[in-house]
Amino acid sequence: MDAKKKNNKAWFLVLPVVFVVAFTAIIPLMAVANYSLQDIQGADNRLFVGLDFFKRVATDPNVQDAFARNVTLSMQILLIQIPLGIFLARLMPKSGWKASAALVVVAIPLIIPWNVVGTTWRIFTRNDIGLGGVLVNKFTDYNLSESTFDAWATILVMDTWHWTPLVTLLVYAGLRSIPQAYYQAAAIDGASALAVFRFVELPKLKRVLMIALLLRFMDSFMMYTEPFVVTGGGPGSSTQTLSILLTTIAIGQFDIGVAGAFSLMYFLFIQIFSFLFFTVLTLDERPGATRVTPKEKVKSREKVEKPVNSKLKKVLK
Amino acid sequence: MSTLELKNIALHDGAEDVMYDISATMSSGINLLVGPTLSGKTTLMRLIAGLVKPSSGSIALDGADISNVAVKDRSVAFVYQQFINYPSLTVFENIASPLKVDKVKHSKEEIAARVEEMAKLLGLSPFLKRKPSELSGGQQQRVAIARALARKSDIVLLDEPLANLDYKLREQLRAELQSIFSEENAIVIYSTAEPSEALDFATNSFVMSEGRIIQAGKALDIYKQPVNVAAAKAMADPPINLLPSSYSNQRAIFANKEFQLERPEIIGKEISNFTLGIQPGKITLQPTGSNSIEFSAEVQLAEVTGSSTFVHVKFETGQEIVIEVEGTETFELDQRLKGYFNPDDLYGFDVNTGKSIFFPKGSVN
Repeated sequence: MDAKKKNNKAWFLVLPVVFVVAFTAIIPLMAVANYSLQDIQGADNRLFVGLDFFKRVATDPNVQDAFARNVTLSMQILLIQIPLGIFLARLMPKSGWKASAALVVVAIPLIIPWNVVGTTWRIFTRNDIGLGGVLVNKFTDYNLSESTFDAWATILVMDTWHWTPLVTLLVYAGLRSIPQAYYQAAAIDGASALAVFRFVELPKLKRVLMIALLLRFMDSFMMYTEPFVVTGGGPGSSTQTLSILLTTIAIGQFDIGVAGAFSLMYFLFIQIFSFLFFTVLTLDERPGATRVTPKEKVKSREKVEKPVNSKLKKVLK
Repeated sequence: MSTLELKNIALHDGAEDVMYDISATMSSGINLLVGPTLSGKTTLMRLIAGLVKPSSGSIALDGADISNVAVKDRSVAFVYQQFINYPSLTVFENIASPLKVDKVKHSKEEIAARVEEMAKLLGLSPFLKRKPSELSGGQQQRVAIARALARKSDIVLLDEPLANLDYKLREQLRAELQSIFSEENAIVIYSTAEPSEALDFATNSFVMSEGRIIQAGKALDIYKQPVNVAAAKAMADPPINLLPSSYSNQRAIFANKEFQLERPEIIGKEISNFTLGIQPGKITLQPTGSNSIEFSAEVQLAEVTGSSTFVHVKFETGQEIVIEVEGTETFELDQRLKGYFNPDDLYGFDVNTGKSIFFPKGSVN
């Protein structure tokens, strides 16, 4: 055995990270998992209940309603903010002091703390003294503490104001990284503005948009502070998000076991959904999808793409 | 045979002049724009394509003024230094794209036939179904070239198309391009910053420097008889050695060496100073003839490129020149070296204007 003994001491360098992550993520999460499996009555009085709490959360109509609300809200947010963000980014100046100024102005909502955003909008939308509330009331009846539609729309508008800039900034950065030559080449081809967007900008923005989609989905699905401050989840429970409901159960009712089960399911849902989302969107960029020799690749692609390219085949004949 | 005529084209960007009074006539076949980066090659091509409007002057194709024709209505194709293709479209769709938006309607069969033809010409037939990102750099640039050729434009602009490719691919593709374009009827305008590439094409060339066309003619003629220092630099590979020198009574000084210089161009003229130029390859380490002039200098640096070695040497005067030696030789640093040159191989340039005064003997046709 004259083979050199492997030096694995580099492992120790990872230890600090392991400690930090353990204290900030793993241990708290395990505590929550611990609560979710037993019914704790007192310090010495606990009862193992298995998955009972999970079942209870899953079948709770309040949770189901909040889940549906969150899904709807996230979808609406994505449908509004992604196109709006792209639209705004394309309008922004490309260079010079105007570009810097536009970037600062656009980024302002992003650096305002959640609570401040909520408070600002709470006052802004009051229909006695709020600028927005009074203004809207001139045209139509507006009262977010009475009308579920008004409350929902307010949350949607507020979030759009707060977070569209994130999409705008990401897309702006993506647009700036497209070489001018692409636009010139398209101009020489005689491509329309729509074609330039469809065939040059959109494919080049694919990755950036994927990140924007993911971030906006995760953030909006976890939304808590702003609706809590502006509507308190009301009227009724019309704007009660999963996060608000969870806080009510955990702190309001001090139902720690149920809240623990709820938290884990909430966390896992976001985790799994984001993972699936990412996987589906990057399907054609996976290393496995391209790691074949050119010759095989042509063959395999032909097989796979037959239905898609049947039109092309006809043309070729 | 068609011709493209540029008449007194100038371009200003605000108060800044970008292009000065450019006039040139280009005809079917390959026309070269040669010059260092920032000399205005790309800008001139964008002007010809119609992407930028000249501040003054006009562009005429076969006598018809096209200055005011919009980009998409000009019969122009453009290939860039970067590999520009539509990322989400297949190679087939990419090559077909200019045909699909062409004003003249093409049937699907026509388009397919033309794409096949282009693909065959550029060796892309096996890759028609791939996306550009699944191709190598050389293949991507082939797609861009196929796209440019597909529409049979009157003018094809290639802006340093091979600059981003590695050496071998560049050589290969350059040879292919020459044969492809020799069969096209289009006016091909090809820009390059590399003198060796220009000399390889050996065709009609326009040397650009600081927004001007300073010389036009066959590449080799420009190499032999550059109008000024800038043209000599643009066409010389490796870079030409330039040394300030004084002259009186048919005696000139090369660094610290005084020698006899007999040139009919300067005899009888009142010239006391000029810049002498000599190609690194014209300086040798052994005397080559009876009129070889010997000099000595210290070795500063030796660059080995494989087929030859570039020795940088320094004179006592502090001036440096480069000698090109065949093969790979090793030199000691600070070693004293004897070099030889023939006064007949010297170029002479005016110190102030840079204009050529005389050329190497034998280069005058």
